[in-house]
Amino acid sequence: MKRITLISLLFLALASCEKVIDFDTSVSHSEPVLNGVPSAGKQLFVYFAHSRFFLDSTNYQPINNVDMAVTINGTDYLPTMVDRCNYYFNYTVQEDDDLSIRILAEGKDIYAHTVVPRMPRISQPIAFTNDTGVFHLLIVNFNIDDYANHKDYYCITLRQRDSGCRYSPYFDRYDTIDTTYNTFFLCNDHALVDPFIATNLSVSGFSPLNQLLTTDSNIDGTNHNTTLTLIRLTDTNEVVPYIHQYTLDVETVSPERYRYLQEIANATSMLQLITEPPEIYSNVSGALGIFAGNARRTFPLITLTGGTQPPPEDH
Amino acid sequence: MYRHLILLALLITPLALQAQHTISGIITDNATGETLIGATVLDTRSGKGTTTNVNGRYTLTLKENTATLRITFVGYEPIHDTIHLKGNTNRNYKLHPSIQLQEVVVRAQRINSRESAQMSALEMPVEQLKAVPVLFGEADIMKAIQLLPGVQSGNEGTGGMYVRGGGPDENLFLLDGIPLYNVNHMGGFFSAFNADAVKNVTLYKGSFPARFGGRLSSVLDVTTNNGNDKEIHGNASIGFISAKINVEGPIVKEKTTFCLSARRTYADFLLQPLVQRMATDVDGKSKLVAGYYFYDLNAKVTHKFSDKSRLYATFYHGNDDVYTKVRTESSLAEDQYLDFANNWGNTVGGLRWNYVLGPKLFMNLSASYTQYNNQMVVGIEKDAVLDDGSEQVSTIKGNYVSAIYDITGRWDFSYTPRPDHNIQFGTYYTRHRIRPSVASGSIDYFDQIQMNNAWQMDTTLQEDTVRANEIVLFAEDDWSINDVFKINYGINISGFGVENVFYPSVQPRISGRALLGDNLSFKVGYAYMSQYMHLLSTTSVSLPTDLWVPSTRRIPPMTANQLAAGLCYNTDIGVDLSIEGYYKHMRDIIEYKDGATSFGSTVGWEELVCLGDGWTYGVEFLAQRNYGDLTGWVAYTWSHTNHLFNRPGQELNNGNPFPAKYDRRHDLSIVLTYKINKQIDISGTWVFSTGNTATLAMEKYPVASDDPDSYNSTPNMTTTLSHVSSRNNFRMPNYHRADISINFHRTFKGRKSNLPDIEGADAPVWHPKMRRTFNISIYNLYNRANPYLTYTSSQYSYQGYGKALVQLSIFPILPSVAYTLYF
Repeated sequence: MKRITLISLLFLALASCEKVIDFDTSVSHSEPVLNGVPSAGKQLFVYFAHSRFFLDSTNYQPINNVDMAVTINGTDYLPTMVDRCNYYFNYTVQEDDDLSIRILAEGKDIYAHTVVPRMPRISQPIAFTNDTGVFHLLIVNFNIDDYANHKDYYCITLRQRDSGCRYSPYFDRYDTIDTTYNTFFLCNDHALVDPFIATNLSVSGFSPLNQLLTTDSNIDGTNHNTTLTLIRLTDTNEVVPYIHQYTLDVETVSPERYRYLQEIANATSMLQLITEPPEIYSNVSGALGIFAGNARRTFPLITLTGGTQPPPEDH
Repeated sequence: MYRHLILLALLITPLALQAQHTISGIITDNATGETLIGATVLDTRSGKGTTTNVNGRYTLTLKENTATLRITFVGYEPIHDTIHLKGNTNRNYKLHPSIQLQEVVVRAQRINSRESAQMSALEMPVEQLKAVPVLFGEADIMKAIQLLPGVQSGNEGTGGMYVRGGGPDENLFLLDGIPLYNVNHMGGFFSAFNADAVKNVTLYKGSFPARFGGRLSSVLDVTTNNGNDKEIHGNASIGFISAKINVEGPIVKEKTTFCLSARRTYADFLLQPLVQRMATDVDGKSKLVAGYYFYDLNAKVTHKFSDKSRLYATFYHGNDDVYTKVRTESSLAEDQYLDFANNWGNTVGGLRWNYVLGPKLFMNLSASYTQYNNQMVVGIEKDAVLDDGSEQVSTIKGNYVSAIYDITGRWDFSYTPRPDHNIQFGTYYTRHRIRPSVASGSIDYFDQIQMNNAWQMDTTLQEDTVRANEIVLFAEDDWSINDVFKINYGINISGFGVENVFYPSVQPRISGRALLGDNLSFKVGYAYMSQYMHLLSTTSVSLPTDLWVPSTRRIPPMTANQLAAGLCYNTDIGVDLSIEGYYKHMRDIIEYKDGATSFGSTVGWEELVCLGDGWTYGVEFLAQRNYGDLTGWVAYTWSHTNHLFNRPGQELNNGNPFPAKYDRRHDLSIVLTYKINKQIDISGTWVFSTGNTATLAMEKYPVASDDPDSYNSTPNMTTTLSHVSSRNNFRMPNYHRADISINFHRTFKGRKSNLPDIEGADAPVWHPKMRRTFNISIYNLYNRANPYLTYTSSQYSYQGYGKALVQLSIFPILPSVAYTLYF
C-alpha cells in the first residue's frame, strides 16, 4: 500500500501539466504612456510611447503626430529633439521648478504637473569593508541634513556595477559581465525604516528595485547620521580579478514620485502572488505613467576586487 | 417590525384555542434505533400529513376519531397503522430497511417534496451523496453538494462553495446546529465533514426559514448520526491518502448511544523518506523533517431519559498541520535550526436537551462552543561556537494567529396547534471573541563581527481582539391555507453589538406554493438576510491567509434581498423536475483593495478593504431520481454575478461594475448511479462549467526614470509595469471532467433475529454479520487538462522564443482505490 501511494503521488506530481492558452489579442488595447522625471541639474526629457501587449516581446512603439509642450515657471517650451520615444527640451531643470506638460495625440488631451524638490544635503559618505573570506561586508555611513519645516521624501539606493569574467557551470563556459543594478542592503535605522521591518533585518522596501523609501517625519530639520550595510557572499564562479564598484544614490523626490515608487515596491513583493494585481499610481490624466520630479546626488563609494577562479587560458 | 410581530401573534393565538386529537412520536430505524429525519406520516382518510423534524419527531393533529396512518421513508418498508383517537396519543414507529423499494414508498416521499412550501431547498439522501465519485476516492459531501444547481465549486478539486453568486463566507455550515467557520481540509481539496458520521444534509439556497440567520447565501444543515442503540457497529476504511474509522453503539442499551468517527491522512508518513533525501547536504549532516496532514474527530453521545426527554452531546475537532524542521550544520562551527509550523482548524462542542412539553409542543435548549484557530510559527536559531570556545545563540521567532471563539445559548420551540400549522419560535445569543490577525515576533541576534547583540526585540503587532454580542429572536409558521396554497412565513430579528455600536436587523422571510394540478406546483419566496462575520480572501483557493473578521464600527454588516420563483413537476416515470429563477442584491460586501492582503501587513485589515454592492440573477434546473436501480440528477445553472465598488475612496475597477470572481454563465452536472446487482453498483459524473474569471494585466509599460538610456534597455521585470484595464477581465478556458466509481459489495454470513417493529409487535430482521465494499474510482476519466491557474511564460516555437499565456493543470486522470469494512 505504501509503495502504491508513493508511486501514485509521484505520478500526480509529474503528470501536472502546462498548456499554452490560445489568447484573443483583440481584447487588449494599447494605451499612451507618459513618463517624465524632471531631475534637478539635468536636461529635461520625457518618454512618450504606446504601451505594449503583455505577451509581446518587441520594443515599445512611439506615437506619431504628437503636439507636446511643457510650461516651466510660466514659460512654454517645445521639444527640440526626438529620439524614438524620448522627447528632449532645451532646458536644464532647477530645484523648485514648477512644471506642467500638455500633449495632444491620437485624439487625447494628456496633462500632468509636478514641482521639482530641492537637492538633498548629504555629507560625503564613509565606506569601509570587511572581508571574512566567505563574504564581503560593506558598511556605508553618511549624514542627511534635512530641510527644516519642509516635508521631504527620500529614495536611497546602493548601486553596484559588476565587471569581469564569470564561469557559468550550466553552460560550462566563461562569460564577460558588465552590469549595473540596485543592490540589496540592510538598514536598521528606526528613524528611517518602520521599526518592525528594520528589526527583522530588512530593508530597501521589499522590492526588486531595492530602494529605501522614507520621509523626514522622524528627522525633520536634523542632521541625521545613518548606516547602510551590504553583505555580499563570495561568488566562487567569479574569475580573478572581478570588479565590484559601489555607488550611493540619494534622491529627494516629489510626493507623486514617492507614492509611485512605493506602489511599485508593494506591487513587486512576493505577497502580490496572492492578491489582485494593482494599478500603479499615475498623476497623468489621459495616459499611463508618471510625471514627477526628483533631485539626485550620487557618491562613488568603493571598488572591490573579487574572484576565486583562475582566469582561463584563452580569456 | 412591530407590525410583523402583531400579525404573527394574531395568527398564532386563535389556533391554540381549537381542540383536536394530536398524535405525536418519534420514527426510528428498527435496525439501528437511529431517528429518521424527513419521514412522512400521512393520514390516508383525511389526506393530512406531516414529516419528522431534525429530531425524528412528528406531530399530527386531526379532527377525526379514527386515523389510518401510513409511515414512509425512502429506503424503508412502509408501515400502516389504524388508531382510534380518544385524546392526544403518543406513537413511536420503527421502520425496517428495505433492499427493494416499493413504488408506494417513493410516491409518498415525492408528494411530500412537491407539497412543501419551502423553496430553494435541497434535501439529498446521504447515501446518494456518498456515492458520487470524487478526488482520491474520498467520499465527500461538500463535493457532492457542489454538483447541485445554484452551487458552484471553487478551483479544480477544491471544496469552496459559491451559492447563487455569493462568496465562500456567505454559507452557514451547521454541524448539529453548531456553526463551523472552516469547512475545508488541505486547502479545500477535502471537506471537514466526515461522510461516515453524517446522517442528513439539507441545503437552503434562498427563502431561508426564519430560524436560520447570519449568512447571505446558503445554509448547509448537517446532522450527524446518533448511534445504534442496540449493538455496536461500525466501519473502517483505508483509501488513497487517508484512513478512517466509525464506531457506534449503545452505552446503555436503548438508552444511551455513542457515535465516534475519526479520520487522518497519512501521506506525511509515507513521503518522509523522500523528504529526508531532499535534505542531503555536502557533509550529509543536514536533517529535514517536513510534512502535512489533517485529521478530524466526530463524537456524539445521545441519552434518552424518557420518550419525552433526550440529551445530545456533540463534539468535533478538525485540524490541518504543515510542519518543517531543518537542522543544518555548517562549516563555520554553526548549527542552524529552522522551524516552521502552520496549523488551522475548528473545535466545536455542544449540549442539546430535547424535551416534549406536550403533544403539540416541544423544545430544544442548547449551549455550544465554536473555536476557529489558525496559527503560524516560524523560528530560526543559530548556535555559533566562538574562537574562545564559548557558545552564542541567536534566535528569531515569529508567530501569527487568527482566531474566533464563539459561545452560544439557544432556546427554541416547535408548536403544532393544528395539522395546518407548524410554528417554530425561539431565541439565541452568541458571544463572539475574534482575533482577526495578531502577529508577534522576537529577535535576539548576536553579531559575530561586531561581537555584540546587534538586534534585540520582542513585539506584538495588530493585537486587535474584538468582542461582539449577537442576539436573535425568530418565529415562523408553516401554514397550509387550503389544499392548494401553503406558505412558510416568519421573521428573524437580530442585533449585533460591537465597538459600542449596535446593528439591528429585521429580516422578514416568506415562501409559498400553489398546487397547479396533481403533479405540478408553483413556488415563490423572498428572504432578507444580514451577515456579521466576513471572510477576507485574496485567492480562489482556501488558504491559511484567509481572515475571518467581524462587522465593526467602520464595517457595517452585509445584507441581501433575494427573490425566487419556480415550478416543481413530478413526472410519472419517477423523475422530479424543478426550475427556479432568482434575483439577489447584496449591500456592504467587502473586498480587499487592489494589491492588498492583511498577511504580512503592518496596518489593520479595515484599512485594506473596500465596501460595495453586488447583484446576481440566474435560472436553475434540476431533474432528479431518488429511487430505483438508476438514481441521480441533472443540474444546470445559468447565472450572472456582478460587483460594484464605487463609494468615494473605496473604488475598485475605477468605480465601474465588474464580474465577480465566480461569475460563470453555465454550470452543468450529470450524476448517475446504477445498481447492477446486490454486489455491484457504478456511479459516474460529468461536469461542465464556464471558465473562472481572473484579472490579467494585458498591457505593459516602462518604469519612469531620469535616465534616458534606461528606456532603450531590454524590458525586464524590474523595469516594466503592468496595466490592468479592468478587474476579472479574463476568462479561463471552460472546465469539464468525467469521473467514474465502481463499488463491489460483499456481505458475509449473518443471522436472523426478531426485534420489535411497531411497539408490541414482532417481525423478523436480517442482521448481516459483516460486509465490505471495495471501491475503484477514476477521477478525470478522459484526462482533460483543466486550468488551475495561469501565468506567462517564455515559449519556443518555429518563430523563435516568445511569451505565451500558460495554464497549469494539476489533476490528470487519477485512479484510486478504497476498502471499507462494515462490522
